[in-house]
Amino acid sequence: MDAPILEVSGLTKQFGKFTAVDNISFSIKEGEIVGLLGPNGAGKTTTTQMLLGITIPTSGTISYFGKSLASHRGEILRRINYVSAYSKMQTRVTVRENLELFAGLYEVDHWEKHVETLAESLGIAHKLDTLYWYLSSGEQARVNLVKAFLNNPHIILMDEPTASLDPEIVNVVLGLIGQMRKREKVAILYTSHNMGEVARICDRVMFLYHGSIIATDTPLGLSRRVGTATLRLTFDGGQEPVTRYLTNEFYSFVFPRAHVVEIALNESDIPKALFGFAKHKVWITDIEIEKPDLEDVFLAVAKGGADALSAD
Amino acid sequence: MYFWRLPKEEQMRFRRIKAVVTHSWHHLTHSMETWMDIFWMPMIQAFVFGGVALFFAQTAGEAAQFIVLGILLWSGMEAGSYAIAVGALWEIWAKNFNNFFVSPLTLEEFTLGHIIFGLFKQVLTLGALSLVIYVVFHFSLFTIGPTLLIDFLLLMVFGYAVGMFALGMILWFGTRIQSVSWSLIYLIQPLVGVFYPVSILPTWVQTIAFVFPPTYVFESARAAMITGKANWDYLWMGFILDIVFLTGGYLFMKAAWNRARRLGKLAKIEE
Repeated sequence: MDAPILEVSGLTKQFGKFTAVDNISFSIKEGEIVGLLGPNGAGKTTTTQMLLGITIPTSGTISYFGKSLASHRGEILRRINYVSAYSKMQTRVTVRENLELFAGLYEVDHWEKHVETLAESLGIAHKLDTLYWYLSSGEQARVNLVKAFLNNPHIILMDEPTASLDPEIVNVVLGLIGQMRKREKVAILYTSHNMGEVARICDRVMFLYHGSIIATDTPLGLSRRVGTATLRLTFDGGQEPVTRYLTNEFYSFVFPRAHVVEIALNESDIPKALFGFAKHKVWITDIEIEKPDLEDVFLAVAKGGADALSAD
Repeated sequence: MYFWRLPKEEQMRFRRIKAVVTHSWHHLTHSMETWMDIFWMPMIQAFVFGGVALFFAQTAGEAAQFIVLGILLWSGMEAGSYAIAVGALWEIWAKNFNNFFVSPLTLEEFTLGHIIFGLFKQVLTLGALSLVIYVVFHFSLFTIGPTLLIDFLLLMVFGYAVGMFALGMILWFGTRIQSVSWSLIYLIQPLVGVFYPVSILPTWVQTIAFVFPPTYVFESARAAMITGKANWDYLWMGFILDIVFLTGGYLFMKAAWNRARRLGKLAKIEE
């Protein structure tokens, strides 16, 4: 991949004595989708606000396309965009009139056709001449997405863009994001509390905790750092050989039913455990594996803090 | 860095200002209360004070004319004063304000867009008001003569300075102080002699009155109406003070803007 589209170095924001964002550094390359996760108050929103230039950092630098946001604001903001489920548009004017405003602000040529195409793909073309006030929250979120793609941005900062959308539209939106990434090589910084979405579309996830990035990894890599997988086995025969083997190997286990055992273990130990059962002549009739996901990462950090992801 | 030394991409863009103006037009076409701001409220004032003026006319002709003149000129300045701050409040109330500023739009372009649209609204207000007052009360603004345009321009510029100061206060203190957008201008109304000569005020109040450019403009307009000659010294003084107030209003608004960005208040202004 090429040089980073966005490069953040030593970014810090203090509000009085409180440090909201603490010396974070990261970069995003062309076509890359990076998730920004963290519990409430972790500093995600403050980071996004600084990346958009509406909050001034206490220290550190933000560069897009190799240029400083502080000194090239207009040039940079014309090539990026932002969408949040929580920002709205002027309720007194129609959807088309709102989008006309943003087409003007981003200096988009031939915006009418572009708006029609985007609105069509998001299923809201029939609402273009409706007052924004009359739209449902799901329709408003889709109009916000049209605005986000309006200037063919090189990078979009997305703050929970699919909140309040029904699953069918979420699927359309995630599909559109995938297409834009493939076709236009648009990069995305994606903030969401929906771990399934993040795991589905993000190449990389940064986990923010108390203003610091405590881990950066792929969604799968991050998931593997927390807790253990659960191996659920159905077996023939009595519990005694199973108990003996698992006790000898220091596995943590329970028998939820007479012929079912649930074993908590590291994902990498699963083949070894299965081989051990075969060696001890335990006849396995069914195998289920529950792997940890980003939801577990989130819960582990909320419960155990930064130590939960110590293997960065 | 001075604005004329900024790279082309960072300079003011007519297209973005035009977008703000067009957006304001769309907003106007859908907003009944904005039409009321333009026509209804000034009309009510015109009728009330016009009636009072008619009564005075039977006893003192000059006083009646002063009142009608005051109504007309004041309405233009008032509209200018809240073009900027109320324009911003409409977007804050709709939670759309930050959408403007995560785009390349600058505070200066936003302000200029609202000034241009404010000018359009002022022309509408004054046109309608002048017509009604002429038809109902037989008073023509043109009795002031060609300096009328200068009077309007000077009052409008002062109105914009007050508008910038009001937006600065909203950025500084948040929307809890939003009523300054439409009330700040009324703080100076008793001082600047809108409906009466400043000479009737106590001497110490007169000293304060002559700090504000509208005082000079209203005095000159009254002189022009009675004698047919404007007070050019006063108009020049009004112009110089306008520059001072406009610069002060802009600097305060800009300082409040930077402070709001530094404290993270701009991002939270819609909450």
